[in-house]
Amino acid sequence: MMTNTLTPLLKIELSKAIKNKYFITTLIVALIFALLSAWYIIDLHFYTQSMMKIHGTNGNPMTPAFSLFNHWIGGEATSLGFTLFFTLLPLMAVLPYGWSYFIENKTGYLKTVVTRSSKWYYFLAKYIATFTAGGLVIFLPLVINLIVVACFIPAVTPSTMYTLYYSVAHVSMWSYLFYTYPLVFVILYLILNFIFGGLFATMSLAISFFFKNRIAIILIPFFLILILHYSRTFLAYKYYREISPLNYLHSVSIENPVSSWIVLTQGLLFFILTFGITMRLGVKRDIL
Amino acid sequence: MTFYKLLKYDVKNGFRLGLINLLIVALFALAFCIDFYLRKNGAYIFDASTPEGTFIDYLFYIFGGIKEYIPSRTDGFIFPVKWLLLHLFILYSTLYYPYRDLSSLGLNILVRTKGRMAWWLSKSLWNICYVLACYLVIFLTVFGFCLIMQEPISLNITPMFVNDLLEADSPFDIFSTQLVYIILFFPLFISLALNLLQMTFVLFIKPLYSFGVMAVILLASAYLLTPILPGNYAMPIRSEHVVENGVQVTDGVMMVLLLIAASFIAGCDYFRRYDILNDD
Repeated sequence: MMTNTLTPLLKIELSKAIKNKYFITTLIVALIFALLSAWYIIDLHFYTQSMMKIHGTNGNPMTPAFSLFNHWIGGEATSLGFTLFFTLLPLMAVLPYGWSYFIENKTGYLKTVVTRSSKWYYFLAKYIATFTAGGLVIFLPLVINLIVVACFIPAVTPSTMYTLYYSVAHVSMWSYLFYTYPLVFVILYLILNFIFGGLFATMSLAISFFFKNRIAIILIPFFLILILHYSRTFLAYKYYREISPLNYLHSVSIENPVSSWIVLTQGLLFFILTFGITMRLGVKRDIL
Repeated sequence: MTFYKLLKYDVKNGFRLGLINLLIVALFALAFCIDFYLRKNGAYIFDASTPEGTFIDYLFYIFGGIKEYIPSRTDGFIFPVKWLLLHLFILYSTLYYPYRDLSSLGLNILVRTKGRMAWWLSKSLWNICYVLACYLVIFLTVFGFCLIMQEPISLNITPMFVNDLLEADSPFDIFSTQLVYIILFFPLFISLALNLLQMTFVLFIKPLYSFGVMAVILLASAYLLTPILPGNYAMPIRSEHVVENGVQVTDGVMMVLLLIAASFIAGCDYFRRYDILNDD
């Protein structure tokens, strides 16, 4: 009789997803990018403060213009660390565990698990573990960057007087929170990054059913996101909302304001496609 | 097995495996041409007539890159997606075949060649041929697009596009013929060098991390205008013929030669001692 094997399977999958050398290596690389951003921006902050002391401020220290919320990696768009982190985000999300189904299918490990459990449980556990590993590898460096920057730069509530320094337009997603409860806004963006990091990782899981090349499985999601980012060029001067996750995962608008409907639609689409393909094709496929 | 046979095997198998990627490169080039055509029509919509874009204007738009980024609190860095996509896709296209050939049938071929250096040289030559093929596909696609859209097939750069559409912030009104050669050859040369470097890195680190290192080099090049980052030479917009503080042709040639020589020598040397049975 088949007992409920989902819980132990999920524990094993989560343990494998987080305790592997690819997860650790990618996390270290992502942390380096995040800390590179923190180092640059803290240095810039102190340089600006010292310049203001030397040249004077005409009585206005512009305190709300220099806040944690436009200096953490999700709020600044000027450092090399920010550039590397947000551009390579889909690639970093996939590296920790996106390849696991392909390897387990190739080595035969999948057969030994499925004969003791069920395909449905195996693929559900695999999906959750891949999602979690992809999400965590993005989420943790962002949190550490936020904490490090918060140690040096005060968390002053942003003011609409200084929108030049914030670029969160009133039409942008959660802008009402940004100018009232900025910490809630940042936490929501951290969760959003976790979710999309997880979704990017599961893209490679879904792609594993169509390709027999490990390199392609990991890199195709990254290229798909880059193509989506490039497709914005055809909307120039026609549609003024952000459609690229590389831009809207950054809490402060880089080019266009963010629409919650686009984020929600893309997120749901990614989930339906990845979860649908994984569970349908995975369960249907004859592995023996 | 003679070296000629080995090279023939590599060219045949490598191209067979990467044929679909050449088609994708053509599609990218076509999308970039359409993008330039639409952008050109949009930018000069209020003019009496839309200026024609020459063959080299299209190539300049595709390979151009971005102007120097000067960090500012009010202007964020916007990475050159078109340029990055093209270079990274070519790097991806050459990543799999040499790695795959170090397992199964490829190992038998390696044993029969009786010389690891010949194997490495053959893979390097295949790599060079594949990158050349990618660029040939881009040139032919642009050529075909110009023919269909009745754009002039000429090597005359239209000065107004350089600032209006490529946003180069160039102080020059006319551009030397040297810039034409830079547009035609420098992105290709840097691509060749980076692809060989990536192949060498695969021996030291995993292929995906090797690709990651190349992506970091390209992004850092886009972010910083400096002669020590090779990606700068692959951006004709950053040439000394376009901007006053641009990178120099001689430095670019030195960089390409240095990268190719270092990749080949380090690759040959390390591959002699490389554990080919380590299938992780």
